[in-house]
Amino acid sequence: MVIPFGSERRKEVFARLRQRFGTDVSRLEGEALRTGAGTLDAILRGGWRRGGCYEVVEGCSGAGGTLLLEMCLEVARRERGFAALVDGRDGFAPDAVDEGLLPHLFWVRCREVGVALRAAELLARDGNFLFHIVDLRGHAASGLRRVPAATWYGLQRAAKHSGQILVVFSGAACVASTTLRLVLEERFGIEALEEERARLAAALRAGSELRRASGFAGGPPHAG
Amino acid sequence: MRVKTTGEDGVIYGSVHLPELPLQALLRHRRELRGAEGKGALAVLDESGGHSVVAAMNRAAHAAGVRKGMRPPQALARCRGLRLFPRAPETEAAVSRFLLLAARRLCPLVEATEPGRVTLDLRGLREQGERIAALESLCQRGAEAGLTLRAGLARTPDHAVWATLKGRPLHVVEDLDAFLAGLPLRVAGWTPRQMEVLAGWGIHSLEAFRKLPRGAVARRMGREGVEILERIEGSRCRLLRPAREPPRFERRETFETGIESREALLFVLRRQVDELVLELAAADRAAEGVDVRLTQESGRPCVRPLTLPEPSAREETLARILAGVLEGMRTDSPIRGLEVRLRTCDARLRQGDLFSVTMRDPVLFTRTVDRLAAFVGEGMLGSPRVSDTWRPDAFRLAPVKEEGIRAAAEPPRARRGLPWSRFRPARKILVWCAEGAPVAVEQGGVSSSVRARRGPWTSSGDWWTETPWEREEWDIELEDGTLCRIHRETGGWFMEGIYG
Repeated sequence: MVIPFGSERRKEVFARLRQRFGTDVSRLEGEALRTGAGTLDAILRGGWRRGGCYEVVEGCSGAGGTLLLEMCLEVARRERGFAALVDGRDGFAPDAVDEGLLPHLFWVRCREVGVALRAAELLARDGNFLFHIVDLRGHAASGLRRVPAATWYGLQRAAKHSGQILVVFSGAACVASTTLRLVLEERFGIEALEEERARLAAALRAGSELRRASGFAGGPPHAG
Repeated sequence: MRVKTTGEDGVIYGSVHLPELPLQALLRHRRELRGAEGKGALAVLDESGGHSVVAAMNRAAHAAGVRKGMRPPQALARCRGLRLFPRAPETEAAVSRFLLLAARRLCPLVEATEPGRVTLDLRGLREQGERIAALESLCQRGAEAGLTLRAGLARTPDHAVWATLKGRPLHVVEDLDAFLAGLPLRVAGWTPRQMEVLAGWGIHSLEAFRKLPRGAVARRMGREGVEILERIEGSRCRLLRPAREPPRFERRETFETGIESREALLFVLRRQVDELVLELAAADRAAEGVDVRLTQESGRPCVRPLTLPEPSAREETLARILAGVLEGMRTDSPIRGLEVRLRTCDARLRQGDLFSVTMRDPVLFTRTVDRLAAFVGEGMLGSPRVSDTWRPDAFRLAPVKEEGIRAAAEPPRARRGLPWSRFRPARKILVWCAEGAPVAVEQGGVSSSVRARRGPWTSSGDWWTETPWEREEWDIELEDGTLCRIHRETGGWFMEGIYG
């Protein structure tokens, strides 16, 4: 039986588990998953939260979206989980990321927004993935804005129910149901091609916009 | 008949029987009847003899007066609400096979005495308690598969077979007189003529026949009569004929007319899965892969091999997966044949790997993949693996069902530089160079000067094949700050991707 994230029943179950086993259940309950980059963790209010719906807007191409995507895969590996990537423009380069991350990745190659969203809807109902990444960068903002809000709300609710972390990468803000929107605006210079990736992650600059308060109370990890 | 006299003590022969085989097979075949089994009156008709007669009935029908051998009008006259169904011979065969394979897990010497009945030589089990436990476990296995079994344990195979007719889950023959009391005469295999003679003598039970003097039986009934008497007394023991049929784990169905609707195919598929699951359960095996083959009217076969994410012998699981497979198969003409073949493994040898990561619900994942593949395309999803070559963008998509769902927990490695995303295919651009280095690029009519550059990196490969490649790569920073990777090859300059 799957108990939806954030539901009263879930809170009750975890309260009982906590009472019986102490604090060992915190990771299951909804503790934030740290990205490894302090600034980003601060923006995310501690890290990625299961059941959350995030939108990453790459205002200008090359502002760190792919780096952030790789960081998601790194979290999936660290948490011994899997990430599903719906690649809306078939642009993911397997040779550009750490080879050890690839076994944790399920990659769906698409070229059209409609196909990508249909694939995303199917994957959203599959509770096997820690991250559900939908990469729609490279598609025109006008096309993305034509996507009905109901589609985004459906994805967000499915993610909340299954405990996935839904992250939508786009070139322009379009996800109506997002709980937190990250905006990447600063590009890296050519010297970044020599830097260690961990340092680049730490240097990632993003603005944030809190869209919906649910699940992001910023309270203690046990808040659920 | 080869015979031997019983020289060993103890009850060493077991027999297991599926009572009312046609009815049990029908209830397995028509699952919608399962709930109604105890409520409405049902009877199964046997039409093999040229005319229909009742071959089996449930309790409600029996209570209403329906008996085996009745014609349908007779049966309906006794039970107004009686529902009549034809036999399901394939399911009967599958159920009998289940019994045989399950029995063979207990001992090597098993005889398929008749459909729905097996006889076992249990002398390999030293204690009587072990033999009883073995037969009980077989009955339990049957119950798990939704079948009612009756077992008997005795000194001779015949007694064991007759013991199953006592109506108890397990009957152990210890007191011969008490055992023979109440057993009808017909179970001993008399000819109709002999039955008439015995009826004329006033003999109606085995117990009564056994009390006749041996010499008198020999004089009046000859050698056959003495043999039957010895079988009843237990002094003659026939040898078992061991069944050698190996498990097949495949089902094939051919249709007289082409099938065009998926629902009809699903119905057949469901029944095949039902039978295969019985066979898996009996043989203690699990399916690790399955091949579905559709034969089309055009003659072109349509085959879909599938490796299951996790070996399974559960009916619901296999049915769901196979339904998903069928959903994803595309045919150009109606279907004339359906074949399902399971690849199996030992169900008990599977053990989780402490050092690997597996999915929570692999079955659900397999269904998701099947649905995705139906509209994205089979080759467009999977877990990427970088190929062992320097050729750019060389990777393969690992079949996720085999390895993509199982990831080794490896420590991360430090990498340098920004990751990048590709343009597939690479975009054709114009590049102006000064002293061999790019200074400006133009793409889609928009030009930009190059602010900074790194390179060149030259590479080549596959010169020994028909598709050799050679290229010169540059990393450039454009005027607006975009970091790109460009390369030059035979066809000119191309923008390969963007860093970030």
